[in-house]
Amino acid sequence: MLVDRNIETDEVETREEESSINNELAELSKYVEMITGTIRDMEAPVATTSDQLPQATAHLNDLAKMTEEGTHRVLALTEAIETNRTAVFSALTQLQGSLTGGQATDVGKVVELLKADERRLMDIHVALSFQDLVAQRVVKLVTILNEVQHKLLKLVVIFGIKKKKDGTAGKDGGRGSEMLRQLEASKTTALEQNLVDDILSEFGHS
Amino acid sequence: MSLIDTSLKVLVVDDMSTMRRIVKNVLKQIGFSDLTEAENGQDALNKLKGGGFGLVVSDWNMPVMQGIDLLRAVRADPELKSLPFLMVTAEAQKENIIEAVQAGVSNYVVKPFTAEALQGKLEKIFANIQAAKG
Repeated sequence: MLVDRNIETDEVETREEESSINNELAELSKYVEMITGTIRDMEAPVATTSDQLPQATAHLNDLAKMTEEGTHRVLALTEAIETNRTAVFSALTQLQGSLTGGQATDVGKVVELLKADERRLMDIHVALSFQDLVAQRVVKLVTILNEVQHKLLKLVVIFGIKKKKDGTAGKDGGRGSEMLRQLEASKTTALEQNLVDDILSEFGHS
Repeated sequence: MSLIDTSLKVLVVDDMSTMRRIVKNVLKQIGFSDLTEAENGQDALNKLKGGGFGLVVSDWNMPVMQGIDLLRAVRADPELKSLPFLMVTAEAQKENIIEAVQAGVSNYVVKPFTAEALQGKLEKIFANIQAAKG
């Protein structure tokens, strides 16, 4: 009698456990279905983005190249103007020496104006160093984009969204993250020349 | 009266052709006429070992060999170790400057710079050389 009651209790417990497991499996199944749906939704944007990134990289490289070419063009023109300015300056200085009175004064004024332009031309030259800074930032952005592309390709392959075309393995060295960190840091922590000079003076450099 | 010895042969080191051209033009305006270019630290080191240079103006961030490694190589070479070395760079974090000073940089100019800033730094380098000579 006692044995029968024990067997009955065990059966009830087993049924309850089975029911609980079934409920959990049903929940899990719903969750997997939801995740599969999310991955399916990701398919188009991830595939499009991984296709667009090489284009973005190419555009950035073109941008660096174009600014370099444009800068050389402006440099060449300012160099030509400086050559002419130097020649005119020299000729007028000679002329001034052979003149007297008001004529010498007038030519002297022109000579002074030409002298002032020397500094302005040099300022134009030096201002063009922006191109180097732009190019350095572009290089950092390209590195970051390449890393994002590799990671996206991994995602694409892992979830079977799309087979990789070139079959190359993505490099996960974290260089892009480091570049991103440098790029962000340069916005807030790059030092101005006067601060650099303060640090140099601490080390005995004036 | 400028202390800058413009008769010296100068090596301008930068991977960007625009920057080499800009720095060379500023140096020409100061009065230098013997100017040579190098695209990276290794290229620069090879040229320096050829002899004859009296001043190096170098960028930091370059492929193949960085400016800071060039500086260390110069300071480690018995023939080159006393060469004045001006770093002209966008690398302007405090740790960069300390690293450059510890490696033996003569002075440091941050990009974007002005012609006056570059000239001022060269004046200081040559003043220090004069002072060291006594």
